[in-house]
Amino acid sequence: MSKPQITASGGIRHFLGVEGLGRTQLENIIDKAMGYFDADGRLINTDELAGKTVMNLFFENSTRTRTTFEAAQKRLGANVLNLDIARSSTSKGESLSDTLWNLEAMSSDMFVVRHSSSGAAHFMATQVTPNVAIINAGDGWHAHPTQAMLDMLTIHREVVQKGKAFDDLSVAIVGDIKHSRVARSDICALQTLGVKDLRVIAPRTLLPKGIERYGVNVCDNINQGVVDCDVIIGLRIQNERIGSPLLPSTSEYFKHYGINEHRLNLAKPNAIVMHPGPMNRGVEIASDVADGEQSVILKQVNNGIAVRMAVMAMAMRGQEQSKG
Amino acid sequence: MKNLLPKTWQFDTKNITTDTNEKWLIPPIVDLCARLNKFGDGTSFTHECQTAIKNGILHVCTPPDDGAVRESSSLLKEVREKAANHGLNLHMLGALTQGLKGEKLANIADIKAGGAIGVSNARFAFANDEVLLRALEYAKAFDIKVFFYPDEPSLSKGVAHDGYIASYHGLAGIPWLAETVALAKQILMVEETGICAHFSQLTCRTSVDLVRFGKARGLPITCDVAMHQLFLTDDDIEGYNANAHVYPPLRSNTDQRALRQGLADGTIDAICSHHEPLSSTDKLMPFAESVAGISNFDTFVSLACQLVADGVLTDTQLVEKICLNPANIAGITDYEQIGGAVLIDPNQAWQVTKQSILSKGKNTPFLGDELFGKVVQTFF
Repeated sequence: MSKPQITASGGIRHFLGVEGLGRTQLENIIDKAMGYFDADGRLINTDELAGKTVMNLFFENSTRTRTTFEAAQKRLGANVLNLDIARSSTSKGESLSDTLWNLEAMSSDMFVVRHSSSGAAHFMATQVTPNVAIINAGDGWHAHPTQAMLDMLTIHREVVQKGKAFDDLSVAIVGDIKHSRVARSDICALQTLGVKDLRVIAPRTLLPKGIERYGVNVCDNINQGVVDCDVIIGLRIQNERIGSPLLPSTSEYFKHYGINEHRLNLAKPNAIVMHPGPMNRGVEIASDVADGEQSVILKQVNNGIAVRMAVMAMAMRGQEQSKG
Repeated sequence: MKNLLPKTWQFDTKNITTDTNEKWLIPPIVDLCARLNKFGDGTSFTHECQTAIKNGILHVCTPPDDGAVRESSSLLKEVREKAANHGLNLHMLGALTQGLKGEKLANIADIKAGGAIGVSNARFAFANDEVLLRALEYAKAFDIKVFFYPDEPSLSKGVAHDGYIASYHGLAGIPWLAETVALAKQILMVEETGICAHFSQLTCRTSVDLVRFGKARGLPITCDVAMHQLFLTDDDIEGYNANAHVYPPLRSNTDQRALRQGLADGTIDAICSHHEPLSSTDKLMPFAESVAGISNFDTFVSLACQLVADGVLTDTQLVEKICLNPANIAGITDYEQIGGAVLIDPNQAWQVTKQSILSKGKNTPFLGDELFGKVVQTFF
């Protein structure tokens, strides 16, 4: 993968994906995000993006991610514009490039972009330079890098700060790996941060081709896959997969791959359970696990704001450095 | 000058004066698959005809969906005459089924009477296997060749080769099974019906094995590979390079080695350009949304020369793969009578740029590369 997101000095210019970033860069994002919590663990406000205009361009619907980005932007003091882009320009036949160039002409400094096509953020980065930074808020099956970094921040706060290094962790990702941008970004981020025991658990129909080259341990039996894990990350099963040639039924999936209390007990005693949301209770995760003491799912949401603040602040700084 | 014309070829070489003995004189190139109407602005046909000629490609075969679906003798005649006005010998495939919908048989006898070199359903699906079988049986009655572009639609819903590279980029994959499942079925139906068939644009190792198997059984089959499949792999889509978005997709290194081997050992009979010129806006979008296709007329001879430089083929074998065999496959019986020749300098260096490409389509992943081999002169 090329590295259009890195400045000459190694800073973040755009944030398109985790791939291409080194361990130090990821640790810097985590450190920066940690700085947005006060002594009581509450998020603070800053003026790092004061006077800057950020546009949220969600070509694909998302309430949760867009809202946390907006919350992060406002805590950074930015002028925020939410564009209902899917129902406006593109529905009238305007090309993606033309849409971007028009919005760029409105003195935007940053685009936060979600798009259904893999690589859309990379493409946009080639179209808007040098005046706008692109933050990838999810592109197709490819990447969801801010979700990955909020997952890393969550693991950092819940596990690493309690005495266990990333290098020594056992992490299991369970679910639809094949169609998951979260899984791809999580795998990349975890490996970059030093995790060696990384397991993916799914039926063969939900594993991507060439999974063996990802450097992960593949397991199609969840009862074996979660044994002695420190972290279990569940992934959402999209409704359209059920009854397709990929999965027969929700009940069969839950029976054989759902994260339930029995399976959680196979992991380490203090293992944490994560999920990017929205959850399908009774499909990929049991309610008592989702709401249980080992679940950090709501903490992930809070961490998401801090990570998005960090990424946007760093990208804006890199952007200004690039402009000289 | 090295004369690579067949001994019986009617061409007077006395008038050719050249200052080096490293140039090659070959028969006109016969391209088994190119699209001249894909650019979409109404002027591309003429321009692409001229581009073909300037690149030594004096004979071009087009699929039945290049422009209006070719299912009548009058349309075939009209298009052929239009190309002839520009000096290009156009050889067309007619539709195998009405509207290429795969449901009802086209008027194959009329299509043959109109001068079609064969019939094909292009990449469009058949409603069911019976339609395919009956179409072959019917075509057999008129002794016309059937051209296949093997593809099983239910397995080919992606945008790139189903391997690690597509997976890593989050792109939906097209497994090699999409091609081989269709090809295996088609070979079996050729055996059943006795029809002569040509399989175009094979991309993967198992396809070469299947054709090898069919030929060993004595079936009347031939096949070709697109030139770019011999030089590019799915690695070339790295970074979402839309110019490397082609259909069928670029396959793995293993597949490419098998294609080169199949070419060298005679399993693969010919190399086509699979030229598909596109506008810049067709590629100016995220990879998966971009239009598949590569502009290949301008790079065809250079890459052909590179095959010789790489030791895949000798120069005389190259002439067989891009001139003589394609002419036989297309049934161009008056190829030698039409005559002509192409003078190539296999060592001439040139850089692939939007300016140096004659085609209106600048959609090539070779942009910026230095290639060797150019047409010096075309003789009609």
